[in-house]
Amino acid sequence: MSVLLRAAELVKRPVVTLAGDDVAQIKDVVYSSATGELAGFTLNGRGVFAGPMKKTLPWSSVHGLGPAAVMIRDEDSLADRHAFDGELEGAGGAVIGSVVLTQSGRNLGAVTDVILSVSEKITDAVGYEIEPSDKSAPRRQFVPLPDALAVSGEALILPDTALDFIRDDLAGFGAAVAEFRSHLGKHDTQPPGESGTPAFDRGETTPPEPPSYRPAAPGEQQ
Amino acid sequence: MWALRLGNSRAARPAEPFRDAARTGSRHDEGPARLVPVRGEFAVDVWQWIVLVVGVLILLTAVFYGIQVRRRRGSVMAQRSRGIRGGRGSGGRS
Repeated sequence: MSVLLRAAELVKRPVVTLAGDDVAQIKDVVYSSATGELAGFTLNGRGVFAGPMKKTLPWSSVHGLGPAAVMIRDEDSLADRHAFDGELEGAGGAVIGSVVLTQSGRNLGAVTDVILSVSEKITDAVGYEIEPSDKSAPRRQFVPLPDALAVSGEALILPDTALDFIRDDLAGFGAAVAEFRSHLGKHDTQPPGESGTPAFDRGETTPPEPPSYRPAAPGEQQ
Repeated sequence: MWALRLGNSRAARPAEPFRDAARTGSRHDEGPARLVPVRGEFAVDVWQWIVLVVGVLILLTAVFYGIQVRRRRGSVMAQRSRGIRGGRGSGGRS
């Protein structure tokens, strides 16, 4: 069972220990652009005048993610800022506001949010909420993401087939993501920038019922 | 050297004739006489100092708060790994 939620909704959510101590506040939601997996959060201190903290919260240390707070066992669950360094070597960037382009060069719009699929095993980015560049389109649309993402310096690149799976609301978007990824797997579409690896080469199967995407475990990935 | 200068400072000299003029009520010297500080103090009341200090504190607080708000602003960040990323080698747009 997985739940879709907007990543921006997690920003400013308090981080609370199981002992009830309110130790921090979510600043940035950080996910891997290669796999879409949620890596964790950077943190702000508590209080009006508190700035960003030097510690971060890896997703693996999160005990529970609720609508009111992000729960951790204790303050030892927080890691130092180097916890993300391995993946940050390629540098990171704010996704919100970036332009979404298809492989054929069509501008779909600007990202207003990232849709996360949260399950007990893993949480990853499955779609973008965009503000379409086409003014005749609805104000908000949801674009599914492939299994392996492509993020350039300025734009987010999607396969052309993503156009067929754009939805106007979150209801049914999980099914669209599953269909889209299944479609990519059948047609063996490669994400741009990745030369030799098919998008669906991990031997995993897409479960039939949405939202049922089960990404490979970290050990299985390249 | 310094003591000599202070004792014969130029600032002290004009005050005496102006005070004399004020005492005598000479109409000719009436204007300059008003410039003489009566008690030799800078005429700012305590409440004015308080307003000034409080105003500066409010200004500094607003500036500091604004800076902190900018530093605390969050977003959704993508980590660009080397294998997938095209384009720039490093550096985000945040």
